[in-house]
Amino acid sequence: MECWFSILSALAAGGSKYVDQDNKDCREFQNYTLVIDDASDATAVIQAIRRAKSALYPSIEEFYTLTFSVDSATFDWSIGNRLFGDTSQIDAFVIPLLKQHPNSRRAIALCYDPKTDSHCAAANVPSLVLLQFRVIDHKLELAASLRSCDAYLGLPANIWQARAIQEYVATKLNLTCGSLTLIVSSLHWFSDYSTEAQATVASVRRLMGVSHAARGPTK
Amino acid sequence: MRGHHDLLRRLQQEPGREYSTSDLVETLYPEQWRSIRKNQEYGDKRQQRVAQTEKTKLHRKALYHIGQLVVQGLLVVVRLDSHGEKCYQVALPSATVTSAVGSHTIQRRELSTSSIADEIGDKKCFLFEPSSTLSRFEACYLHAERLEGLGQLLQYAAHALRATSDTLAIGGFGEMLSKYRSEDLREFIHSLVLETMDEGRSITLILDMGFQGDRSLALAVTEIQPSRIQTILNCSASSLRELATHQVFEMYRTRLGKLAVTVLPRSTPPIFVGRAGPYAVTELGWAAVRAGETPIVVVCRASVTMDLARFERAHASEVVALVQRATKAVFSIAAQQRIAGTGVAALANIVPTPARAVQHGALVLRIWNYNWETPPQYLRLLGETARGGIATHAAVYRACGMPLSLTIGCSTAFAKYDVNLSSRKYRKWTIGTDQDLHRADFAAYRDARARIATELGGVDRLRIFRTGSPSGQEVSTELAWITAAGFPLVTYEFKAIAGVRTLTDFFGGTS
Repeated sequence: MECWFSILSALAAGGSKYVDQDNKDCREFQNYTLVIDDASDATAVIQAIRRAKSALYPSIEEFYTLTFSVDSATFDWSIGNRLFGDTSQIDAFVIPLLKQHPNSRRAIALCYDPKTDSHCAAANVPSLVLLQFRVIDHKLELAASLRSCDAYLGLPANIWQARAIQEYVATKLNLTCGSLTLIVSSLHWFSDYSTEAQATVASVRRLMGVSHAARGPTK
Repeated sequence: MRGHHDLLRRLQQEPGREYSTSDLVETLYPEQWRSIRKNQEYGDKRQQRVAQTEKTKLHRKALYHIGQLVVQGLLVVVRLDSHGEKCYQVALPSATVTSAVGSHTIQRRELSTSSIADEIGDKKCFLFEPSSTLSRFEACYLHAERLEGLGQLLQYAAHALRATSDTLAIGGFGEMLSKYRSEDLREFIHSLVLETMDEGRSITLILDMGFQGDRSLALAVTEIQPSRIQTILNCSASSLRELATHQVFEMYRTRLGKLAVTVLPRSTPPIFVGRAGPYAVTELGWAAVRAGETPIVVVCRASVTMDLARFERAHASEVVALVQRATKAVFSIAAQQRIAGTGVAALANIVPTPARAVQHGALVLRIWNYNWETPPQYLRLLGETARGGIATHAAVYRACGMPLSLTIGCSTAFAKYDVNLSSRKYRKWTIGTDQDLHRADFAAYRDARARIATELGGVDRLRIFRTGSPSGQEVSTELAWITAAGFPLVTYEFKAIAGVRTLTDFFGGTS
């Protein structure tokens, strides 16, 4: 997950200054595209952050529950419910579609629900808005659109979730995973993270050693 | 397949527990099982025979699913009990169980309280009922007003008890009880008793003394004197005056020997007590109930008690560090409950989306053996530290795409919370006449406790031992005076503390 370290350094050094809705200072990259060829160490990164951070960081089991369980009872909403609840967008649409038409560009699933999320007072709405699956060269590629992403705490989580869903669909289609692309409208870093984030990232680096090479970051 | 899955999912909530075949039948078919038990206990001979036949059929049906899980290696026979009945346990050979959920696969790791114990294992903090913390919520509240009648209320109470480890409060009867006869109310209490026997939890009835039906139910409770059903009488100032001449207080004194009273407007979230300590429905939970969004809300997901007697000479920073650890521990419990799907199966029988019932449940930090002369700023610091800690953890989760509406509250603990708590150091108060109430030291105590209760967000209880044989009028007057300081919940025990008869005697002795 060398790309995570690079993005954090780049944001701290060159991100444009921005004050968010909660009046917090941050630095951000707008409309950032990150292409990851191999996200197989996403789990190891999460585990390393959990060991390194003093505040609680969610466990893999929690990410799994949030991502796949339709009845996760105590989150305000869950990706699992949005993707797999009622008529599952993944099981009832994406997978059958790509089985029938591997070249389709319609294999889209939405985490954002305008009925519940498009309200001025809605505070907690999904950052992960849209997933598009494509089969290219017998591999399953996934492009995920995010409206907002906290590069320090949220990026490893978003990568893990997108990768888990990609693996799930790839397995059902008897394919291997291709690249994972994140298209982020606001990739940001809060100024008050500085000291703690540096310490955490340094610990994660120590715990993980050098990771794989990512293609990117690109902008 | 659905039956196997349902059974496995429920058993995984308490992975270390042993289940008899009857337990498993009950887990799979709770409503039929309850009906059979009721007919076996209370039915005539014909009903008992029919119940026995039904029981055999259910066993046969359940054994098919149990057998399938044993064949798959997900359930193992651990022993035979004294009746030769097989006892089973969930098999967790590699601490991981895979089960089909819908059409995708979820891996559930073995749940444990060990990480939480690590967090709070410094002998200054205690977790309420560690064995059931991950499978049940500590307290729930069921609002009766919009339900169809006592039959539906009983069904809901049975399901809610399965999600509760300490006490289930039932209130908001409104006009519902007025259409029932005394016999019906007594039958209702008997049925509740049966549910508490099955589940081993208690039920707290919060009765509004402004309603005739609630008064009748209060009297029915005094007739039956059920051990696992407590009552809290909520009075307005006017109903408190009316009750002076009503037989309710008299019956509570002579038959139950105790009385718990709140003086709260109907718009205020109810307060009640369990074995762990006092509970209050959260503001958001109460708003959801009153708006009719859900008839049931989780009141307390889990609590951790901090034994402050062990910190008598500690620096404030040490106490803050303790609160931070305790906050992290209850947050971890909530996280593990989410993974376990705690209470989801039981609450899904009451509400279509259990999340509505769970989301406003508070995490609670309890304090034990605090000095009532403790300055309010001290308690304020505890509350601020706890709320700050939860906000930090929740912000991290939100950044990870896990939006949480977690609230944390502070309250007091009861001695029964954990046997390892330090010995009680505070004084219990006994009064012999209403004159004792007006003593300067008691008035100071009452006012100090009221200030503490305010700092705790009103989640506190004042317990008074009352000797003699006060009339309903006297009890009413005394309660009016005590609650006038703004104390939310007062319990009267109509007996003396062992060896102490009155306040005067008490101060003559040692504490």
